[in-house]
Amino acid sequence: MKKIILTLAISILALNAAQARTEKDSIDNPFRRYVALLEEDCDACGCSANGGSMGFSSMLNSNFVGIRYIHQSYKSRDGVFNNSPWIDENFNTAQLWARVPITERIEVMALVPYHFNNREKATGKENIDGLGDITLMGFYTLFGTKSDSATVFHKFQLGAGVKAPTGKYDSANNGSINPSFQLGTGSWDYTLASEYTVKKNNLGLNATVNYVFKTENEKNYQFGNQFNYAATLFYSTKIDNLDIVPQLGLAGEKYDENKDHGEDVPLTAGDILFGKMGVELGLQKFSLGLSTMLPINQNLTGGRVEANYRWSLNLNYSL
Amino acid sequence: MKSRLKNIAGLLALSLFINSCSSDDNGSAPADGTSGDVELFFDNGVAGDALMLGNSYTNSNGETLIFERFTYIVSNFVLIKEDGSEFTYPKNESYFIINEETGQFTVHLENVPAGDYKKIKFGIGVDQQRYLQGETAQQSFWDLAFANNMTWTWSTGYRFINCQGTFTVDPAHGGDTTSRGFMIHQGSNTATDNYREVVLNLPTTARVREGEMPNIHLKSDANVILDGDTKIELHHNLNGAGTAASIMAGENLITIANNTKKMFTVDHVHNGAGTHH
Repeated sequence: MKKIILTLAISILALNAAQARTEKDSIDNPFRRYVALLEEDCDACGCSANGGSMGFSSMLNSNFVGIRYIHQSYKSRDGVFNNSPWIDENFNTAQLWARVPITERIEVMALVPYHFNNREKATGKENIDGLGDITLMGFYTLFGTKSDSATVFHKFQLGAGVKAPTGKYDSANNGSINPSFQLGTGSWDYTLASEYTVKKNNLGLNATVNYVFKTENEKNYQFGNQFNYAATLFYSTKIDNLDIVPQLGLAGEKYDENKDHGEDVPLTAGDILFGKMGVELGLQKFSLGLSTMLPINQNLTGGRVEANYRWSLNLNYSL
Repeated sequence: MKSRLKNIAGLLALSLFINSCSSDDNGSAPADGTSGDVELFFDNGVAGDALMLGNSYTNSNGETLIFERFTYIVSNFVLIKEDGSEFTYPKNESYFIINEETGQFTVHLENVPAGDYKKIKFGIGVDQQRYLQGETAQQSFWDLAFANNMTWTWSTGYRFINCQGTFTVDPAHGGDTTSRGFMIHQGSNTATDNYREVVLNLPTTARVREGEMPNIHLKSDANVILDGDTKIELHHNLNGAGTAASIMAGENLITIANNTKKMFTVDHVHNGAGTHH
């Protein structure tokens, strides 16, 4: 019960703080102070539009704490001409992630990312490192099969959460080619999510959709709202004590146009569809996950940005 | 099923609530009497590709050009707000040279009244009014233009565009593949005033504030000079010996004046502090 109260208190505080900030910038924001305490230096990072459809669940254990490393490779056109050079952009994230049950139906999820991104421009290498935007979400199980012994198991969850601007947003970047080369959106963003899992015998399907409402940041820049969806087929098998869960799926992201001072920024809307493949290995309380995503179809930033691939590696401890 | 519908309704309500949280504040309104700077960045291109001196570009006239020089004068800057009201930059300060050879690509305007600007207007070259003010009135710009190869003699005036290099002609267009020099010197003369003005819409607002400088990123297209609305074929403009093409007078300059009204587009506007393209 204490946990619930604490979670609720933090969420309410966060929401209120966000509202207070939009109403009047000068109001001291208690949550920001709290965040500042956490990281000592507010000069932190954690962006943005990236990795949205990677999901935040494990097919092996629904509740866990763990660390995840995500590498995203993009190429981005450095210039305004058809023959302007493409440069590589690497988004690397080390993430603490956890999904913790509070009651039988309620669980909370937290993502604490640390980014170290780089790109090589004609004018030299650019690096940005630091804490990213922290996400807190609550999930409620609307219905689900309770017994583990049932042959058909399914579960439907709804979630809502908030992403705090703990990552640094640098407005110097917003006129350049990839506006998402940031550590954070600089804004309080809100997520609605749903997740459905169905499993018969060894074969299962996990489907998620979530929508991220993004708000205007202090530099009057607003990243476009984002719709993420994913469907993953998985198969559970076992060799001795080792659980093996290979996975195959599709994941997509759709972005609305970014806004600068309330005005649409041309060529910032876009969408991308990935094919994804992965495997999770479980041994007792520990699990290891490896996942890759390759684009099938994409149209990002008016064709000025292209995703090459993503991969992630995670180590979880199930609760 | 009913309870699920209820939940969906709940979700919708929550989403409305979240949307209502988003801020309507679009940043500070411009304070009266304050001013800021504006920077224009001219990114030179050829038909959508970046212009690089020494690279070759083939146009629709079947001529392949290698640019060795691409310089032009832009002038008489005017910033226009949504309601049509204009700020005209002080005329005596409003003449600039963009030079690919020396890497001079920016026009920096100072003390522009704070405001939200939606269009820009400027001239290509030097207007007759300014020219007729005489040499002493514009000595410093004349000297700058001289240093950038943008003058003839005082009596014949400024070069508005100086574009030079070599070219070859595709045999299918009646040429041979010999490389010849070309020189295009655009300007006004006693017969015609070839100064032209262009008005360009900005894709997003240029916000001028104290301490906040919009950077307007323009693209210029050197291809339109010869391969614009009206075509000019260099190999029809060879000298008597047939060794080079030079375009410095006559009807061609009127054609170029009109073609270059489509030479500039605004690619994007970057607002905020600092200089970024």
